[in-house]
Amino acid sequence: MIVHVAEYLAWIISALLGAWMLFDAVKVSREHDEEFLTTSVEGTDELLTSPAAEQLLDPTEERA
Amino acid sequence: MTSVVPSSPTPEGVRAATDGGGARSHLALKKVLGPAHIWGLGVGIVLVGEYMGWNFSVQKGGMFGALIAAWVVGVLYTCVAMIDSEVTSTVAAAGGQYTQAKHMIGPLMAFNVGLFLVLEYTMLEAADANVMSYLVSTIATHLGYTGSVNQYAFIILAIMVLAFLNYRGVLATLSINLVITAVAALAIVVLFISLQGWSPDAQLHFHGLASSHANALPYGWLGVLAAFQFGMWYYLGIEGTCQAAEECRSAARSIPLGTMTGIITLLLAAVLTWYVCVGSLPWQYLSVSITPLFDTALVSAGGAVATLLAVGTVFATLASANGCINDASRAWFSMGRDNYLPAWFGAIHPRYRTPFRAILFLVPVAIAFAILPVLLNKPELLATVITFSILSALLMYSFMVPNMFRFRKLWPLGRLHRGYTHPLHPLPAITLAVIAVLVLFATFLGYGTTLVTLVIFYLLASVWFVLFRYRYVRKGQQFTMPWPRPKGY
Repeated sequence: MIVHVAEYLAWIISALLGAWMLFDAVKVSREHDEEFLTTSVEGTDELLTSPAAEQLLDPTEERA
Repeated sequence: MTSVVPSSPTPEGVRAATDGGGARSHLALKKVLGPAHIWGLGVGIVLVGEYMGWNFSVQKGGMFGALIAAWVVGVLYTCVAMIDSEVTSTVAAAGGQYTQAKHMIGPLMAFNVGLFLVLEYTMLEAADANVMSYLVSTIATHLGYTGSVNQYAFIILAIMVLAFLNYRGVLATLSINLVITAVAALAIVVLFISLQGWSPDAQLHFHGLASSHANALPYGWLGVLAAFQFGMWYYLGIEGTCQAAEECRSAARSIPLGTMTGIITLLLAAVLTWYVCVGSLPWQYLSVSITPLFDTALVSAGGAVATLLAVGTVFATLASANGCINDASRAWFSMGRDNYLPAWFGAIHPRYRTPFRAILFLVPVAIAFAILPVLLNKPELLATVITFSILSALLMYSFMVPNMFRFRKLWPLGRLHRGYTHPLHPLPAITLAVIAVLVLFATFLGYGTTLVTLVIFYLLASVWFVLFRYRYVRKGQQFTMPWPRPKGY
């Protein structure tokens, strides 16, 4: 009996979560400009741009 | 190439950046992770392999064949961890090895490596979800239930709950992974202590179980070679730490710390697992057991320790699936962002700052592969799904060798600041190449058809990419990190 209840609960929770994610994804896509949502660029790290890191690099080197 | 100067993120998660002359705002993944999260991600994906799967190496190579596999494949993964730690400490970008390939080699290799990653993690996630449903059935049986459990319900539930968690934010996702992975890892230590592992004759029975040649190396050295493919289970997925680089507060610090402590944890967990299981179970049983650590606890310790190992098995399975969703989605997202796939997949959720479309898109793919063995009533298909994952990983490790040589050639030490510099180059890269070829050969012995099928799939995918997608790749614009020019360019 408990197993059957757990099975039904599993189906219901899965459906609710799936529906919420789909709904939210559609909502976000409608509310925001596509260009804005896809504007991310590769990250940078403070160690790569810190003054200490700069000293390790050849100061005459041209940045890419 | 475009130069981007980052500034602090605003509360809305919108980062201002100057791009050339004009200022504009753009979304970015949330930089909230530290070394502990990276440890939780890497070890979390892998630890399920200690709880189940590694023991099939006993079937191939016997008790000591499994130990040799753990050592040799452990060396392979130590090399992988060292190389990844160095390269990714400079590449603070989601996509991990895909991004490395993009910078070091070129678009076609990057596309293939991206696919290797997505397949590796999605297949592993599918296998984890399938195993999760098996565990639910087992728990129900232990509680006295005699009917059959609907596996579909629990496979889909596991994937949906974890996808939801990933959708809502990376910090909560990987914080949970850290906790459940730590519990699963500690459970192995508790088992070792409860069996007085420091005294091999107290509760363990090595003399009777593993001392004769028929138990230790029943198929000789060929058996040891065949065991390598299952030796992968001890460590498969630790390279997934790189996928979180863009979300670390400091990738240069967190990735090497999390990855190297992760591989140390796994090397210890692998030998501890082998030790307690081989000293407790006969090899004929151990080699076919579905949950060897739990079985060891049940037979040798019982009571609370067995319960803890049952919890550990469930936690390890969940942590693995959770980490796989995180990693597969980051690889898919990165490929979309660079137009290797439709740019639609490169979107970030403005509130949760996660690659929400990539996460959602991979949900039905994982569900399809997870339910396939149940749908067709062929449990052996689970092994094929896992082999897809292992082979994709092996193909990726093969790429890491030329990648490392090229990285050191284009950006020698001193030219580019590294958060970690691995020692003895090129020894780790050469060792990685030799062992990867050995494991590929071993896997070919067991799953030759699967390997050929997978290679054909990647060839066809490459043809599709060259004919239909290459023209959309953002050539120079895909390189946005403030790196110095490579040597010779």
